[in-house]
Amino acid sequence: MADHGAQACVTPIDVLATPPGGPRDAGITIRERRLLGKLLLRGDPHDTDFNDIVQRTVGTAPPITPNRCVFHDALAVIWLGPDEWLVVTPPGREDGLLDALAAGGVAVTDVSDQSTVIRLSGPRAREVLAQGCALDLHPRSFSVGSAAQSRIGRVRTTLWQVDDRPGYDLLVSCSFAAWLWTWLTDAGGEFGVRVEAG
Amino acid sequence: MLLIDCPWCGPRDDAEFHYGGEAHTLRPADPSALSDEEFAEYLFLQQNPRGLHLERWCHSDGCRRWFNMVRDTATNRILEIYPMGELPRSRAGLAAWRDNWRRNSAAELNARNRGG
Repeated sequence: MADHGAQACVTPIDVLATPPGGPRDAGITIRERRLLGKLLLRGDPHDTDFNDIVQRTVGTAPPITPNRCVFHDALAVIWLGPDEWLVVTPPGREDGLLDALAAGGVAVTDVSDQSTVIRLSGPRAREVLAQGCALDLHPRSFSVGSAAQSRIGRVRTTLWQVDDRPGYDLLVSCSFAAWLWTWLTDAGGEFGVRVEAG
Repeated sequence: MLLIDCPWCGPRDDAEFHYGGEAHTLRPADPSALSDEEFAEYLFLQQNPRGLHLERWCHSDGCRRWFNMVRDTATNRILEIYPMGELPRSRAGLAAWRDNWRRNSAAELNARNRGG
């Protein structure tokens, strides 16, 4: 489990030491959402017991529709498969949630330290993603609450849209996070890139 | 580039998928009852057709679920995508399954007799 209290926590993006800043009118803004909790849930969405426990602990039932996610109380529940979901929590909240879900008999695993999340937003975010992602991100097919597991810059990434700026959260495994970060700064170079501290 | 219609995620770029070999290869239930030639036939002989091929695919960079596909190896046209453990629903796909040499192979007869 992630040790969030320690000052010594270093993420794969910290290692790059990208200085924050950039033009105010930048086309995209990137920021690492540091040390988020991530829980992997497995269960049968048609089992009422499973649904009830998730509803009671997470606050919302897991989305049954593929390629969707739901937001509730700073948590995001993302569809990964017909019996698999990812719950993304603010730093430090995963331990309590894990215990509550496990006590209810849900198959749940803490995968917080396997990956990190990069928030990509700004008016040109869609065009930057389009340079390395085969998904149709046009608002008619991908909007707030849409999620997908695909490839961005040849790296396996789970992404979901969080707002209409537009803003996307990109979940990428730690070993590829620095690659994706530098790929985003490169792909966004023509529009101007603003880096915010995590 | 192929556009593959994942049964769960919808149409995706083929780079997200992994090919899993020929579908419907039943493992013999009692391999020791087969001769070396018969087992080698099961293990090493591939259908390798010019035309319809029944094959397994996994959406490895997406939902990581397996499914079956009927694909024309000459044109890359995807005729049908159907769930694991089932047979093709299209007439052409079903005919490709029926006409495969494996249906009468010693390995498959062994699997059917023992496994039901």
